[in-house]
Amino acid sequence: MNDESKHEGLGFDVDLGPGRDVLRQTIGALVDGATPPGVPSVPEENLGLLRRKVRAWRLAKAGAVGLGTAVVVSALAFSAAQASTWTRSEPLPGRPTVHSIERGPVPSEVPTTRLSPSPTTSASPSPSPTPSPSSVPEVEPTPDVSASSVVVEPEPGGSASEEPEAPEVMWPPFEPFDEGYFSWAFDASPIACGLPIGDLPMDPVRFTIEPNDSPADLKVTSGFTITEVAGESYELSSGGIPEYLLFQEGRLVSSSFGARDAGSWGGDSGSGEFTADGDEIVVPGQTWQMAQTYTMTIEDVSTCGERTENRDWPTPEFHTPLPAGEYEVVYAAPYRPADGESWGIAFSGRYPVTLP
Amino acid sequence: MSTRWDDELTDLVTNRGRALVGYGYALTGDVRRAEDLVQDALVRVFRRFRRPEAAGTEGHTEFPLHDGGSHAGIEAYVRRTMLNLYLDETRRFALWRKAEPKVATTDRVKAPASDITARADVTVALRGLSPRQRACVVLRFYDDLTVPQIAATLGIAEGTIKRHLADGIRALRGVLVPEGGLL
Repeated sequence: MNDESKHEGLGFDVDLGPGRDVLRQTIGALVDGATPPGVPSVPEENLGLLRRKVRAWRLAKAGAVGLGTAVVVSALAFSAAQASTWTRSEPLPGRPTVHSIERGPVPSEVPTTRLSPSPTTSASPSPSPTPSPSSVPEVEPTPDVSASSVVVEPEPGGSASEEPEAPEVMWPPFEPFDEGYFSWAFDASPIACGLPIGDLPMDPVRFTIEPNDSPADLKVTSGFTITEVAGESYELSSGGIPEYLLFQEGRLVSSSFGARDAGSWGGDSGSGEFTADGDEIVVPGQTWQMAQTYTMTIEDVSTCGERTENRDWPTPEFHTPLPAGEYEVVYAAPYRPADGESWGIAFSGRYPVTLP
Repeated sequence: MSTRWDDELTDLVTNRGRALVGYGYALTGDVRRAEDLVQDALVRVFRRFRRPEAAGTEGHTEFPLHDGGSHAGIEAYVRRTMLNLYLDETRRFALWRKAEPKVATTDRVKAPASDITARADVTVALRGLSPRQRACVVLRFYDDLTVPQIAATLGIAEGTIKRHLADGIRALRGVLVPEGGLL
């Protein structure tokens, strides 16, 4: 690599002059000097413990191979048993209707997207997806009634005794509401406050997940079951924990504070196949165990409301309380496909949740 | 009888343990956190480890390594895992740390015994950077990665990387460039 290409786009960098060497040497000194000379590093001292921990994990994983099928079947059966509780009887505004096999809490109806990092792409609540016709089930979009402020009123001449009165939908649900803002650090994400749930981006690669625990508890203690990977196996990089999106009346009103834009899922058991980087290759029916018990906590303030930016931390501070009421939560997990050049977000199905 | 992963782990920790702790220290500014970061990353990598060399490295981020030895592929993966864990940890505890600002003060940070006095100002200034700025500066000036390579490594848009680097360098310039120097 020549100097010119190394400094591409780094005008602020090349003018540093001798300061570059000072900085390089300082960081090098930090690396070299962290452990005093002649003293073994702490990982060396703890090598025995590290080996025991790794061995325990690998033995547990080997043991899990024989039980894997039963675990997945149990998880799917649990999902099916919960379906009547988790699924709404009617689609929400803007939600595509899928004419395919009916299965559990409609996991396959919420697609995934792949995001190509781009500093020039701004968030938009109305993306224009281009799904591949070969891999996306036929869908019949319902009318999108959520593109602007929505107030549903009874039809003139209608009788309350003949038809139930449609509930009034207030928009925005609280003030202030920063429509178009999104707290996650995916520059290219089309997801933003106010996004209709049916406008979650489409992608030819359909990849959906189901939490193995009751979403009523908002706990993800036994990971996720991958319910569908259409077209091909997919490689995910390891890392973090799932995030969530919170919808009310079919539109995004809050989310977790910020998806880590450097990682994706932590997979601790799965297909048993690995990429060159050691990442697991994802297959349908795979159960993803979390490294640690993780509690999905819905924050009591909205990321779409008032916020204060803090230059020292990537996450702003949010202040607007979420009103009590009925919401829907969608689990979301960023992943990194095998090409390493783009990022995607896998979405779960949608699950009702009541905030007190 | 030792297994292959056992030998790999032993070799890596024995020969590169200090360097890994150093890398963690450059990221975190705290030796104890660096040690935890290394051990956490080692367990995560080796509990599911397959030799990276077995399938080549095409399509994956390459880290320039300073030992030139046989641990390159594994060490690179451990370091990438350390980066992910570091950024994940800082994000997760951001709110808590805001509530407990004393945690980040230097008097409570365990410093290495061999800090070089002449570079103390730069070291202190590095500690003042945000986690992402610091990660970008380390990848740029220690790992010698380009902006596109840093973006690929961290999964962040190039524009965001440039912003973090510019902000980081701006914060450091007072200790890097003599008075009257350009910048």
